[in-house]
Amino acid sequence: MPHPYETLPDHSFWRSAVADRDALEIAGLWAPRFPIKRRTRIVTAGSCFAQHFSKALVARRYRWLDFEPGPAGLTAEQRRDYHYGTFSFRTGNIYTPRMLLQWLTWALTEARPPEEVWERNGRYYDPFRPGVEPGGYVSLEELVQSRSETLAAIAAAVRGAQVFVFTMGLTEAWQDRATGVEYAVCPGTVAGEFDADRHGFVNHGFGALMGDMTAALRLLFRANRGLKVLLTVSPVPLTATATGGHVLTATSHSKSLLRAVASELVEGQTRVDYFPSYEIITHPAYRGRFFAPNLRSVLPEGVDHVMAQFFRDQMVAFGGEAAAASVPAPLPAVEEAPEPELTEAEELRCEEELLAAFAPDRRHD
Amino acid sequence: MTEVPRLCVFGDSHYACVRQAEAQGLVDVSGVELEYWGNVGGRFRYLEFREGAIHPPDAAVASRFARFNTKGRTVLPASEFDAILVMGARIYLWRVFFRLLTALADGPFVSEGLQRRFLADGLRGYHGYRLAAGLASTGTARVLLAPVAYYTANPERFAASVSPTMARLMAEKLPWFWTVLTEAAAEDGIALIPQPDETVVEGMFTDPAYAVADHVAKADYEHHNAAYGAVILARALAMIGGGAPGLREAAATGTMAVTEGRC
Repeated sequence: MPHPYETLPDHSFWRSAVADRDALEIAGLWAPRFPIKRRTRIVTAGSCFAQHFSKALVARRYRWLDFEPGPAGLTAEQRRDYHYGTFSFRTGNIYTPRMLLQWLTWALTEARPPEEVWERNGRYYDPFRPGVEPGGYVSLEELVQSRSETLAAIAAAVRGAQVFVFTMGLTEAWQDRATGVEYAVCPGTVAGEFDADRHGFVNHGFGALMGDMTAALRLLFRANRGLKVLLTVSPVPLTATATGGHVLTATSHSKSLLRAVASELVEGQTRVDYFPSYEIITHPAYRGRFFAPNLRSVLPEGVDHVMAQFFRDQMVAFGGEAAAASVPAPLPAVEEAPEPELTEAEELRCEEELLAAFAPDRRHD
Repeated sequence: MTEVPRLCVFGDSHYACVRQAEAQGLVDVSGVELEYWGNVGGRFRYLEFREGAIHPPDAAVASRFARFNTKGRTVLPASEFDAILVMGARIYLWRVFFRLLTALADGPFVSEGLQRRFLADGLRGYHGYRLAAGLASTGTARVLLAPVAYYTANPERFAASVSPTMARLMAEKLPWFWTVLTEAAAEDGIALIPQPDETVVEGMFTDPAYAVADHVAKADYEHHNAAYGAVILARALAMIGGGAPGLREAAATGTMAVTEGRC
C-alpha cells in the first residue's frame, strides 16, 4: 500500500513548490472557499494593509462598497487626509480583534461607545479613531455626530455586503483599565493624555484573540446570514512594542498569534476563509523583495503581486475571466475642476467689457 | 519721485468695472498713481509667476496685456508697486461656495475642519489665486484680492439650483465662509476683499443694480458695472490709505452709496 505522501500534489512538497521555483512563480498558495466575482459586494476593514485590497478591487472594477464616502465634491487629497474611501467606513485602522468587536458591538447592538473623548489644544479627538479628523473636531457634538454616521455606515456595510474582508494587524493595544475598552492608539500619542493609573497595556494572547474574533464573527453572521468573511494578516511589522522585548521578536509573536487565529477560525467556521497575503510578503522564500529598505513598508510591487495571486487563485478555483492587469482606479469624487475654457461667446463678452472700459482711454488722449 | 502709493489693478475682464469707475469719476483716485494690467481670461490662464513678476507665455500674449497698460508693460513686476489689486482673476468663489453648500444641504455630515479645508483648497486651487500669492510672496507690493463677484441675481435662471435648505444655509454660513477665506488668504500674505454686503441679494447673488448694462439681453450675469468697480476700488483705497478721507471712512464701514454712473 502506498504511503500518503506518494499521492500528494506538487504543491505539497517544498522542493517542487518552492525551492525549485523562482519566487514569483510560486503559485496556488490559496484554495479559496467561496467565489469573489466582480458583482460580489465586498467591504474591507482592518489594519493599514487592508486599504491595498480595496484599491486593487476598485482598479479591477470589482464591487468594493464604500458606505461612508463622505461629502460630494471632495478632491482625492481631501478624501485621503480625512480618511474617506480608505476602508468601507471611516473607522481608520482597526488593528486588533478587540477593536473590531467593539466597533461591531456599538454598530449592531444597543451598546453605546463610552463618553470618553480626548482633547488637545481645544480640539476633540475620538479615542477610537483619533486620526480620521486632522486637527480634531471643534466640539464634542461634532465628534459624536461624526461617529454616529460611522456606526450607521458599519451597520449598513455588514448588512449590505456579501464578503467582509478583515485584516488583522496587532495583538498589542492600550485599554482603559476599569472598563477594558480598547483605544486605537496609546493615549497621549496622537491626542489625549496618558495616565498610568487609568491606561493599561495589553498584549492579547491566543485565547483572547480567538474569543474576540469569534464574538465578532457571531455579530457579523447574526446581522447578515449570507455573509462570508475573508481574513488576512497584515505583513507590516510593528512600529514599536510596549512589551519591553525586542520589536523583531514582538512582531513575530504578534503576527504568529494572529496567523494561528486565522487558521483556527477557518478550521471551525465554514463561512470564514484566509488569504495568505502575509506569507507572500514576509516569507523567506521571497527574500524580502517586497519590503522597502526600512524592512517595514510594503512596496507597490509587493501589493501588486499579492493581488495578482488573489485574482489568479480565484480564477483557478472558480473559473471566469482572467484577472485584468491593473488599471487606474476611477476617481471616487470629482477632482478640483480645471478652470473651464472660455467659449467663443464668453471670450467676446469679456473683450467687449475691456474695450468698453479702456477705449477711449483719457490718459492716451 | 512718486509721493503717492502706486496701485496696479490686475485681473481678467472683471477688472474693467474698476477702470469704468475711475473713468466715470465715481472714486477719487487722486491719492494713488493708478495703473491697469490685465486681459481676458483666455489669455489670463496661461500667465506665470516667476522672478518676482507675472509673465505672459509669449510675446503675442504679452502685447495683449501691454495694450491696456499706460506704460506698455509686458510683465507685471510686484516691486514696482506699493499695492496690487487682483480683480476677478477667474477666481469664482461662487462655485466653491455652491459646492460646499450643496454638500451641507444634501449630507452626509461635514465637519468644520473639512469645511475649512474645502474652502481654503478651493481658493488656493485657482490659478489666479496662485498668481496673487506669488506676487505677495515677494514681500514688496501689498496684494489685495477681490474675487469674481457672485452671479447677478436672476430668479428664473438660478431659482432651481437653490433649494430652501441651501437658501437657509447661505444666510447662516456665508459670513463664516468669507472669514475662513480671509484667514487663509492672510496666511499667504493676501488681503482678501469679500464681496461687499451692499452688493449682495438673495444670499449669494449680486444685486442687478451692479450688473453690466443690458445684462439680461446679453445673458451676461458675470460682469459688473462701474458702480461695483467703485465699491471695490473704494475698499481697496481705504485699505492701502490711498483714498479721500471721507471715502476711506465710508468704504471701511460699508456705507458708501454709489448713486450714479451705473452702466
